[in-house]
Amino acid sequence: MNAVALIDCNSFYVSCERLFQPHLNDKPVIVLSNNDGCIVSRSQEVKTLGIPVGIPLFQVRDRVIKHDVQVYSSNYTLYGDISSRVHEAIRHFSDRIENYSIDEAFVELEENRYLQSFFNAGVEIRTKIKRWTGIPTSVGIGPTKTLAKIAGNVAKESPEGVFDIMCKDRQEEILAKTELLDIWGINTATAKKLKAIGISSAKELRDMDIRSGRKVLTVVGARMIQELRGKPNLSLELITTRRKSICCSRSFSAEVKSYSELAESVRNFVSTAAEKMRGQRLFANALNLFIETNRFKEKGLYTNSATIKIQPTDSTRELIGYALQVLKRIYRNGHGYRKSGVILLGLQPVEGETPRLFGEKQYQEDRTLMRTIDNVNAKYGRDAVRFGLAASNQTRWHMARNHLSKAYTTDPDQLLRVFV
Amino acid sequence: MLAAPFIDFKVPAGFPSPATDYVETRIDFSDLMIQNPAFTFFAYAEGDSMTPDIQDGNLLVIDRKVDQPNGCIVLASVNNTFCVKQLFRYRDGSIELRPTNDKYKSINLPSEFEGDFEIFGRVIKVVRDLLK
Repeated sequence: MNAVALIDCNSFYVSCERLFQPHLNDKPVIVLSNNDGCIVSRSQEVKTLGIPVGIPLFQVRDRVIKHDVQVYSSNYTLYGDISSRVHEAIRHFSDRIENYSIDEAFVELEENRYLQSFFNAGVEIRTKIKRWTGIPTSVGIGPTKTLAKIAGNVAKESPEGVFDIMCKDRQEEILAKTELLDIWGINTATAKKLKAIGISSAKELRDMDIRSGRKVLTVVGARMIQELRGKPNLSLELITTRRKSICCSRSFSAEVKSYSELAESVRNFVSTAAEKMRGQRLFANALNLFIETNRFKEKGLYTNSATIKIQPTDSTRELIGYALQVLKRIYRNGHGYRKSGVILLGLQPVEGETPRLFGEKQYQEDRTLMRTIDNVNAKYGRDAVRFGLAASNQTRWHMARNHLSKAYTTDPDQLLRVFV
Repeated sequence: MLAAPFIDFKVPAGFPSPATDYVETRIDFSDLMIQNPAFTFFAYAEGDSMTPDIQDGNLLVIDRKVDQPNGCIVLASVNNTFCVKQLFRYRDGSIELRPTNDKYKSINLPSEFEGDFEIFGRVIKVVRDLLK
């Protein structure tokens, strides 16, 4: 029987920061979300201090100062690059991989290839990923994705960083100790429903009647029970499903009032979203734009959004035109805006695009230009070539990232410097 | 990355060039420099402990995947500080990090060394910019 392994990067964002700044190795470290708002990644030391994930920094500021916790803004350029390196490393161990998130992947381990034991395979995978990429991982191994995920939780706490629950006895032991909320796909609401009918552990859920399981948790619950019994019900999503929409939005570091500043943010978000879309060889059929004032302010609250159907396109120039049409419609003078965003919708593969009756020549010229711009930006960094007005010095719509580390792997001017 | 034009064959008009199939191929500089792109990192060197091999300001190409035999040059961190040295592992488990410039002394880590020691990767190429 083949096994499923869940490979999970330990404190991924913190590990990325530590890779290039070894002086962080013995210090507590946290990484903050967009705009330096909430804690999104914590080193083990911070977990031990009992500082929770997901809470705003200001709520724990005193403790952060007291324990000299090192604070970093999210460096998504760095994390994205390191993540792709980890996924590349994983490809050495199986061709059946589901890149589940930036720091997790499911892989199918073939029985024939790992005859000795799946546990040893896990140790080998973990050791090689660390050696090749510098990122520590934990590996959970089980007969199904749900069980692999549970094994992963145990692996995180174990000294080897690997845990294997392929055998029935091990499953008995671990499932009895596993709380409902630690099962993949169970949230507080579903846990409450199950507790109401007397089920409080993964083992009890596994052993419940499938039909009553379906009644309480619908078909999803029935699948979960099957998975806990060791029967695969969730296949690996091997092909990264084509996205149906692409969003780019940010909160601003300060209030933005003028139309021109807001328009500049919109131009940039459209450029970023359109570049992502072209990277996946898709074009958009509709566009949504939204703007918001500060949600936490009582006076002068204003949010609005509008979606328009557009002539199918992947041209940044055209998409910016549409987005600004929408912005003109929903912008109200006198408000202080804190957020804006663009969503490109109805995405379809470019292969199926029908030529335009009018203006096809201009459109094709546009696309050549887009390809050129994408290439230039890929080479010289995003924003090397941008659309619209020359970048103004009013950059309030930018994100607040006051504790940003360098783009060690993607910008030649920000490479690591080592004292030989 | 840089691309340099491949040697261009000039042939008399009307005669089909045997090299036509290759004309478009250009040497990709990064192919020459890098074996394992996903596991390769770059860093600038500062200081002179590794002269003449590595000079101040040189760009280092560091591969985390290739073997690390005795005598190879590595980027390592000792007590959480980076350094670049020649690596020697001894039978008794001790490690020597040796500078190539004899004005400097080796860092010796006994087998029972309790501080932090980690090898980031092996320096596989040194790029010196002669314009600077």
